[in-house]
Amino acid sequence: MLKKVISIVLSVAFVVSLLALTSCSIDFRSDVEKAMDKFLKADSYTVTVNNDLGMHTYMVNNGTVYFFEDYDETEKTSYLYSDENDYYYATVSDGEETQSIEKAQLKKEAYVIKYMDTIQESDIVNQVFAYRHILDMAEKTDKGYKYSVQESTDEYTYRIIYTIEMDDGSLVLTQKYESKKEKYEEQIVISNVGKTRIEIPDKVLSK
Amino acid sequence: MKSVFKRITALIFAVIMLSLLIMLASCNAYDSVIDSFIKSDNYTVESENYTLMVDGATVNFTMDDTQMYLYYDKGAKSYYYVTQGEEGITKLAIDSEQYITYYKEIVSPASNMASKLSAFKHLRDTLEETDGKYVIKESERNSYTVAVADGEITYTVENEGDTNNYSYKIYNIGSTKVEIPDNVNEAKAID
Repeated sequence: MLKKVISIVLSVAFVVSLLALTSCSIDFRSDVEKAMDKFLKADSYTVTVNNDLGMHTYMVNNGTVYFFEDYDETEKTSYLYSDENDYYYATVSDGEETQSIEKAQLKKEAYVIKYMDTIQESDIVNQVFAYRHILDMAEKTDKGYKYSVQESTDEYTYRIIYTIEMDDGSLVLTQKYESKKEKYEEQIVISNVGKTRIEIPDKVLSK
Repeated sequence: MKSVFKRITALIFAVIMLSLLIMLASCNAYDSVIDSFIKSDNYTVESENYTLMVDGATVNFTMDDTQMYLYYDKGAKSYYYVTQGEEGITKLAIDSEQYITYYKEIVSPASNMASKLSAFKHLRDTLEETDGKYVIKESERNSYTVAVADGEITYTVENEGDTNNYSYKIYNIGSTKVEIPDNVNEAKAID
């Protein structure tokens, strides 16, 4: 009798464990939601922002930041990085004929704060974090989700369409703003999540 | 022979069970409390001035004596923005587009914290932990402290000699529930 009871208890425990394991292994969420979670947890990623002003790319990898701007005739690349126990912020400006490198050694605290500010200013984490909660309210598209927001003020009415979609393994956020006065479009591509590596060029390291 | 067979079966069974339990535990354990917050749909953010409770798409924001609720009523199939204070209840029926705008604005303290903590997480190797706290001293006067304990996160900014000090506490990660009170549910909505 006792053997039977033990056998039944063990069988039930086995089935429950198997079911629990299966339910947490199978991820029923959409690809976009999974990509958003992966990005929020990641220590490294690449973000490219394209808008009417130009393009900028920033790459993050565990405390190292690469930032590239191409807004006018000068291309500017910045690096925030640590080298053993020293911390640096370097900027490389490439004009049509000239190149200049400026490099400053930072105190550890200044480096930490600059790093946190850089992530904060990019606003990407904020956007992904907030949108993730309300995916259920969005309209589904072939590749992801679409939000449509219309706001009216006393002066004018504007409409913003946000999309969060997957494209070739990258998470793509677009924002289209339209009012009677102006139109604005921005595209943010989040790629290489968990795989981004940043190489600091020799010319910066040796400066 | 039978006894040996039984023992081997029991051993295999025990190993399978143990492996399953270990796998089960590891698949639910996030790297850290910060990761849990960043990935959570439910959390409470408290500062000296307000308390923000997020339960997925349902939000309660309390500041001084004023309560604000942002929620979707499945029965009425409508979105509501409600404020409740000394002057009574104001309940606005809003469309989903207005809801998204309000939502992003109201949860912004939490999304800002998520962004800060995400950056902080990248710097864990750089920062030194003392008594469960990470202190970043910007200068002799200014410091930022991130403390993680008992499933709660505290982020404090101190400006020595200044009154502009503030702190955020994030707790009930994964377990925050927002109940819409009956008087709010039953209040008449204005279109």
